[in-house]
Amino acid sequence: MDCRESQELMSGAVDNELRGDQAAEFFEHIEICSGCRDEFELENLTKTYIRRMITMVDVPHDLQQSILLQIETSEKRGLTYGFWSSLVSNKFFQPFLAFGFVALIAVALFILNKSNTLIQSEKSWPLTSPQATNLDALSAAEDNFQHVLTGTLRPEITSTAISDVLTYVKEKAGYSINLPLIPKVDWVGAAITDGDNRPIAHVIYKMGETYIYIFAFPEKYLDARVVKLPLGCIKSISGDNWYWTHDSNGDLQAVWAHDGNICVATANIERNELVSLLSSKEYHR
Amino acid sequence: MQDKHKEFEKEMLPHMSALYNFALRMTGDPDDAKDLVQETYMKAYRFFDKYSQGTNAKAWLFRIMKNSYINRYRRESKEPDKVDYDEIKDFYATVKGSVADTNDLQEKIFGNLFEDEVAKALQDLPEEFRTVVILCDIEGYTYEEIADFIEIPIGTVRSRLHRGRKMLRESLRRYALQRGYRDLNNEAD
Repeated sequence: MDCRESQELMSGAVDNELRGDQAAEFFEHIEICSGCRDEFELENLTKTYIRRMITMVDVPHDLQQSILLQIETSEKRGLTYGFWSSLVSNKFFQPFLAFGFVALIAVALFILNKSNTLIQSEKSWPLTSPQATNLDALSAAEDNFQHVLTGTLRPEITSTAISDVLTYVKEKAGYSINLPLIPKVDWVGAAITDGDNRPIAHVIYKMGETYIYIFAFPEKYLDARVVKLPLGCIKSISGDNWYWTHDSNGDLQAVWAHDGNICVATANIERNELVSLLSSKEYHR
Repeated sequence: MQDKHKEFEKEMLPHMSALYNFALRMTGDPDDAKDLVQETYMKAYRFFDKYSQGTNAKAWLFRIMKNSYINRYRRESKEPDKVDYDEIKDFYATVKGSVADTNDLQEKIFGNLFEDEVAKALQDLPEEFRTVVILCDIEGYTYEEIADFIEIPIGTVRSRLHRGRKMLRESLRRYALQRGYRDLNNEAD
């Protein structure tokens, strides 16, 4: 065993977590290597010091009580909450059920939308224009989302009306996507990137500090290897389920398939909030 | 509903101490820790039907808490730019012969730090290292359990612990020196 290997096993030796043969080799090495021996002893010392100095504390006496109380109140809060949460936690819940909700409201809003403003932005989006092949949708979405948060990527258009965004996507990308009608947005915006004549739609919802970014493309891009998704994800969404993951920044990502398109949403909120926002009444295109 | 309640209490509540202590050391603040535990339990209750009975409830709760923590306290965590790991090792080599007792040796190296100073040093560790040090050194879990809680390979647990403790002892040493303890190296002769 050399010093590099002994470094690798060192914490295992301190914590008594080495296999017999590994341990034997390790201790043989530190017999003859004073540098590694000192380091081993020092690591041991550090561990026991932390353990001695930082002890386990008792749980505050009111914590359990307040948790149980909160559970009780949340249950009493009534049907609406229970209905939504059971819908959300039901593993057979199919995302498309969330769409196709309350067409009337959509129609009403369509009429209201006429008065909304459409802002055409000069900023160019294609900073992260997709490669022609095998763009990893999840990490592309992650990158773009960071740009959205820091403001380095801005939508080509923004509006307070989702209908403007839908129209824009349809005209510019050449396909329609279904989008949730999230109430009380500051704005919703869109941009289209065109990698090798295969446009991808980017939609951003902004609500205060909350951003939801949706990366949307036609299902056939997967077969054509324009875009790729993990296998587990494809399995999930082809069974009409949501697929959930966190990106490396800890932002939540949700993927679903609907009506020939695949959407990857990335958001800086938690799962239950995201689900309820994405399940907002759909705007019928 | 009553059954769900009872089952939940029986399966989940016994792990509150482990979760609270973890939350406390991660956030460094008792109120934040309470909030985090509360949030974790609320989520666990809501998704209790997703939990398969008889599997590792503690690991399940830890995973929920980890995600909640990440969502709330997402922050840039970077390893310190340049840490001189060897200074303390050299120092150790010179003092280790002079004392027999472990406590004396720790005192020579880290001075008489208070608990909150040690807690602060721990808290300044980048999150991925802090997590494993808390779970291993304070809460006493095995590598296998830790790997299960935070969903990383055992080899990663091992290497993060090694590096985490290195960083930690360096910063403890700095604290000790900053607090005005003279370099005991000089005193030794």
